[in-house]
Amino acid sequence: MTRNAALSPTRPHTVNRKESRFWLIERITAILLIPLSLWLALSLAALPDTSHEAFLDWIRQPLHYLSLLAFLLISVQHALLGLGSILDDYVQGPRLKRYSLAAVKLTLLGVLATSGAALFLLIQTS
Amino acid sequence: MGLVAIAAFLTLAAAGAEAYTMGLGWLSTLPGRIGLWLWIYALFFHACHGVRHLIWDTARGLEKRDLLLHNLVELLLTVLLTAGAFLFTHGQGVLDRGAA
Repeated sequence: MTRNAALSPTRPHTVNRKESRFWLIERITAILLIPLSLWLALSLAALPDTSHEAFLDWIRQPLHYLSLLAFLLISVQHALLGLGSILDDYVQGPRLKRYSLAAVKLTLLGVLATSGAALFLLIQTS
Repeated sequence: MGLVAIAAFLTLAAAGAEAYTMGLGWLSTLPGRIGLWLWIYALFFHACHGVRHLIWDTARGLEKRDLLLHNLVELLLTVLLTAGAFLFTHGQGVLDRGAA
């Protein structure tokens, strides 16, 4: 609080509510991603030696597709906050900052839409 | 980049066995496998450094003497996790070859 006050003399006793929410969401998603990342890494490590049939058997188990869906949703949120703050810190100029943030959002939205549709098809067909 | 690759791979898998096998053909080449393991290493490194940030959030580990120690722990843990994942998935083969 004292450090925050020192950094923003114009509003010495307020904490930016939006930023503190970002901070909290970044940490909550980080904690949730610890077990999910371990699971994903072990699953991906076995992927090069997995046939299509074996992959279908694997992905159609609820634990697996739900974990993958959770990883995708949470990691996209986490990436949005992380990449957003990198752009905020390092990209010069408001216009370039806006465009690069829009590009990041578009890419992440594309990832979610594509993987969501693919997952839906994968668990539908049998 | 990993997320984009996962989305692409899921799309290939959903498109059918032929498309999946083509994707797997790229992934199972030596550069494909090296890329995959570098990505797994990067994921573990990010996770370990993230945990360190969570520790920093509790105002611990910020002393100068802790920094070097935690650097080493972070790097060592990343290597151990990657090696562990490798042994977990390739262990049977490695053990078989060791026994032969």
